[in-house]
Formats: sequence, C-alpha cells, structure tokens
Amino acid sequence: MATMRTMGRFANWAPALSACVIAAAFLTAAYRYPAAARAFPVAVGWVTLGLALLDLTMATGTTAGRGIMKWLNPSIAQTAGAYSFSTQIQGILWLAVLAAMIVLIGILYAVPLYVFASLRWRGGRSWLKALLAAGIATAGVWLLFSVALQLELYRGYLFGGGL
Amino acid sequence: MLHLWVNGVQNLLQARELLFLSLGMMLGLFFGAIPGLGGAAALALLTPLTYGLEPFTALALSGGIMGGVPMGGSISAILLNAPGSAPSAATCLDGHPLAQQGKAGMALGAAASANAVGGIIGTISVLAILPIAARLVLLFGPPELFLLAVLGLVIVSTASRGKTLRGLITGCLGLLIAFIGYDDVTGVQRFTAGSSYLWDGVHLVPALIGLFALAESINLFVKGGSIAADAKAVSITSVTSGLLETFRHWRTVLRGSLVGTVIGAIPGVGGTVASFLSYSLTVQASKDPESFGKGNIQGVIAPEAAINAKDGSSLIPTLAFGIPGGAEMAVFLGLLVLHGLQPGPLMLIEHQVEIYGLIWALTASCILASFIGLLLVRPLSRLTLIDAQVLVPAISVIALVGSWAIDRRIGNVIVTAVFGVLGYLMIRFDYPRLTMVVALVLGGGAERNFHQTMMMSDGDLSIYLKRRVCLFLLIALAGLLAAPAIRVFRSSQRWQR
Repeated sequence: MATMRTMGRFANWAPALSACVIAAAFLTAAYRYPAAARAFPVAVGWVTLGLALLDLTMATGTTAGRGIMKWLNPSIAQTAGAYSFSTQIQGILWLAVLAAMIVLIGILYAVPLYVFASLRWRGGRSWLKALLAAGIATAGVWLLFSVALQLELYRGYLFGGGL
Repeated sequence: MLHLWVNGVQNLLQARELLFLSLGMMLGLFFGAIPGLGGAAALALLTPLTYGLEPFTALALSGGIMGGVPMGGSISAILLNAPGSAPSAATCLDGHPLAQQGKAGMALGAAASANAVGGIIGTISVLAILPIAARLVLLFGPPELFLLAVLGLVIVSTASRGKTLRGLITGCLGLLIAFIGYDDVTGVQRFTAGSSYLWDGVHLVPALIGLFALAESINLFVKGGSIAADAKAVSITSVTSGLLETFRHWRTVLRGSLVGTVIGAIPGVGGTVASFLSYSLTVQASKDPESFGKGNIQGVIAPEAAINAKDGSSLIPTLAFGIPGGAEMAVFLGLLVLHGLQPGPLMLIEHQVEIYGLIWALTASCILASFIGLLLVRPLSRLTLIDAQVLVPAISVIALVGSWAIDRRIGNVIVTAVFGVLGYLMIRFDYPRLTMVVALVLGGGAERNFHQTMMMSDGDLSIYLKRRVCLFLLIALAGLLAAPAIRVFRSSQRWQR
C-alpha cells in the first residue's frame, strides 16, 4: 500500500520534472551552436520549459496548480500506480534485454534465447513448448528477412557486426 | 480528372498490388481484432517490411491494413465488449448488448455492411473534395506552411480534450527530438552527442514502431492475462440477418458517413470523435432514444459507417499538409516518408496517381474486409484468447528486427527500444503520443520554413501579419489556444446559474 502511495506521488511529479530537466539540458546544449542554427531550437526549448513548469505547478496540487489543471488539463488520469511497480519495471527490462542481446550477439542468437526465456520463465510454458516456439520464431525471422527479403541478418557486436 | 481515377484503378488492378492489398486487409482484420494493437501498431510493424517494395505496392498494402482494421475492431467490440481500436468503442454500446441477447450475428452483419457502405460514401466524398484541396494548397508558401505546422500541433493538442497542456508538452519534446542531426539550413550537426548514427536525425519509422507497437507490447505485458476472459465470451450465434438492417436504416448510414467524412478531414480529431458523434446524433434523431445502449441495431450501424467514411477524408490533411487525422495516419506518414513521398502541398499535385490508387485500395479493402471478416469471425475472435505472455515476445521480436531491417542499421533497434519505453511511460502517465508523432514528422519542415520566411522578410516577424492566409491561421491558432479556457469559463458560468 505504501509503495502504491509512493508511486502515486512519484507519478504526479516525475514526468513534468523530467520534461523540465530535458528542456534545460537542451537549452544548455543549444546555446553552444551558432545563432542561426540555434534560433528555432532555442525558442522551442524555452516554450517547452515554460509548459513543463506549468505542468510541474499543476502537480503541486496548490491553488495555482488546481487552477492550471482546471483550465488546461481537466481530464488527465493518474494510472501509474494502478499496476505493480515491479511488473512495470520487468516489462521494460525484458524489452531492454532483447534490444541489448540483438545488439551484442545478433538476431539469430537473440531471438531464440529471448523467446525461450520469455515463454519458459515469464509465460510459465513447459521446456518443450518454449523450445518449439523459440525454434519456430527463429525460423520465421530467418525465412522472412534472410530468405524472402534477402537481408544478411545482423551478427552482433561481439561477433564482428558494426555499430 | 477522370483519367486519374482510371489510372489509380488500373495501377491497383495489377496482380502484385491486389496480392498485397489482400494481405494488408487480412493483417488489418487480425490486428484490428486484438484490443490494444489496432491499425497504428499494424502499420508500425509492417512499415519496415515494405522497404523493398515499390511505393505503389506499399500504399496498396497500407490501404489494405487501414481498410481492414475497422471490421476487425467491430468483431472484438461486439463479441467481447473490448474495442480493437478506440473508434470501435462506440460500437460496444449497442453491439455487445446485442451479442448478450444472442444476436451477435445480426450485429456483426450490420457492422460489416455499414462498414462497406460507409467506406464507399467516404470515398465518393473524398473524390469530390480532392480537386478543390489540390488548388487550395497552392496558396501556401513558407510562412503559411510554418504556421500550419504550428497549427497542426496545437490542433492535435487541443483535440486530446482535457489534456491540452500535456499535448503541447509532448509536441514540444517531439520538436526537440526532431532538431537532432544535420541542420540543412546552416550545415551544423546538432545534439548528436558524437554519434554518427544521429547525423541524419532520429529516424522516424523506428521511433514510431517504438511509440506504438512496442509501447502497447509493454502495456500488454504489464496487464497480463488474455484479452477475453474465456471461450464462452467469443461464441457466435447467427451471422447473416444483420446485413439487410443497414439498408433498412439508410438514413443512419448516410448520417454516419457524412459525419465521418467531415470529422476525418479535420486534423487531429480522429475516428473516436467521428464514431461517438455519429452515435449521439443517431440517438438524438431516434424516436426511441431509450432503446440505445440496450441493443439497438442503429447503435451499431451509426458508428461503423462513420469509422470507415472518415478513413478516406483523413487522407486529405495527412497528405496535403502532413498533419495526421489520428495515430494510424501518423504512422502512415512515416511509411510515405520511407518511400520518398514527402507529405505536403506538392504531394497532391505531383503524386495524384498514387493518391487515387490509395483511395481505391482503401475502399476495396473495407468492402473486402466486410465480407472476409464475416467469414473469419470465429477464428479471429479466438485471437483474443491468446495469452499476453505469448503475444508480447512475438510483437517485440517483429518490432525490433523489423526496425533493424529498414536500412540495416543497428542504431534503429536502440531507437525503437528507447521510444518503446518512452511510449509506455506516456501511456502510463497519460501524456498524448500523437502530438509527439506530429512534431517528429513536421519538425524538420517547420524549421526550414521558418528560416525561409526569415530570409524572405530579412528577419521581420511582421510578415506573418501581412499575408492573408497567415493572418487567418494566426486567428485560428489564437482561437484554438483560447478554446479550453473559454470552455471551462462557460461551464463554470452555467454551473453558477
């Protein structure tokens, strides 16, 4: 329950705060470029910062914040706390692991490993079913990309593939 | 004009184009029937695979997908009360009660015929509007095009009602991302952090695959389970009796199709508004409004006709100004760019054959999807019983390998994954994704037009006040920005009274 409450509070602040940080970092970088190259990006950067600050004010829940919400964001929903924090992190991590595996060991090794691991440990399928699905997925990828589209599948950074 | 229509049809009637159209239609039905995926995810996943295809074949495939999705969406909306895509939500209101009364077949039949007729009416309307639109776009120079890009962003932000501020924030963040890479006006590399991959900027299609397909995949992972609770939920009774209902209620079909056509032509408003508006107007016009929500067949016909009719007209702002009518059209913009078809005023003049071919593909697909959808309703409804834990790895693999396949650059995989996480966070924290997509598409062009305007006027911003179309666009912009405040002010006044 306490975790959910913390998540709810975090959900109120985090996006607006992140937008502020991104806009500020962007502006800092933009001012290093020549005047003509930075003119439009700087204008957009300042607008982003202003809007993000308004969103941040809204998250405070103060009178001013409630006013902004009423005028500009009346129907937003806070659903970040609706699902378990660890499940959400897992969902993101599984994806990150697949992307990292493709980059490091290549498509032909990453796909069967990911499909097998995902079905066996996340999906609770038997070893045999998970192995079969991994084989089918790899064959499908190979047939579609290598045979039909005639592309040489990426070998992976560790096996000589360029970044 | 007639020769363009004929050329479009002739190009579409080639064996390869028909094959890809049918393939797209089947995929559209498949993705449309799975709640949470829908047309945007289908197009995002398929776009990289079209890389080796001729532009016209790719358009036939995407037209097939866009035409097939609404029918797929109706199947899950009626049988499961879970709309495959947001616009089909209005179909749930009466479609599912009909299914519960054992009249699923009637509802599906009515949805199929309303889909087909709505699509045809939408096409006729678009064919009438296109020549006028092509002449209108010639009034637009760099200052107008810059303001139009800003207007597009604001329209899409305000269209996500109640989230204007958040829509504007994601739009601006999208613009910041669009600035990454080589600036073709000054020749400076910006915000690349030393990465040579980013010299060309953030690639649009991998970003879109992440924002839609992967984000939905993470969302499905988090929610878990399967979409339908059990097999009983997808049982079907009779399938044919509803077909004629559409023709009995021809006024409802006509009203829905016109609503869909008008709403579709307004950028950023999208199919959800069209279907619900059509539904509400039908309820208001009915002599028996009490029966709606309890299984009135007109409650199925009205939204379905509107959904398919809007598909054709939403091509106009998408192609003419690069401002998409909805998420599906936003991803479709990525496909156009991938095939060297730059959306914008010149597109309506230089690529007329492709445009007419696309319109015919869309129409053929929605008619075909209605018939095939009825035949495949049983197996398609079974898709919703697939465990999310099986669906998620499949989508993730296709999305990431597909994004690599676009131009065989491994950086695409990283971009797709990053945007997948970003898209998921935007779903979870309730920030609209559509404005970010519009900004990613329009950002480069907006900056170029801004620079050209400044060169035209020697840096004098008052040029925007001296041109008639600019002035009109500025007034529209001010009106749109003030609209949410006026709406709140009015409702508080009404409440006080």
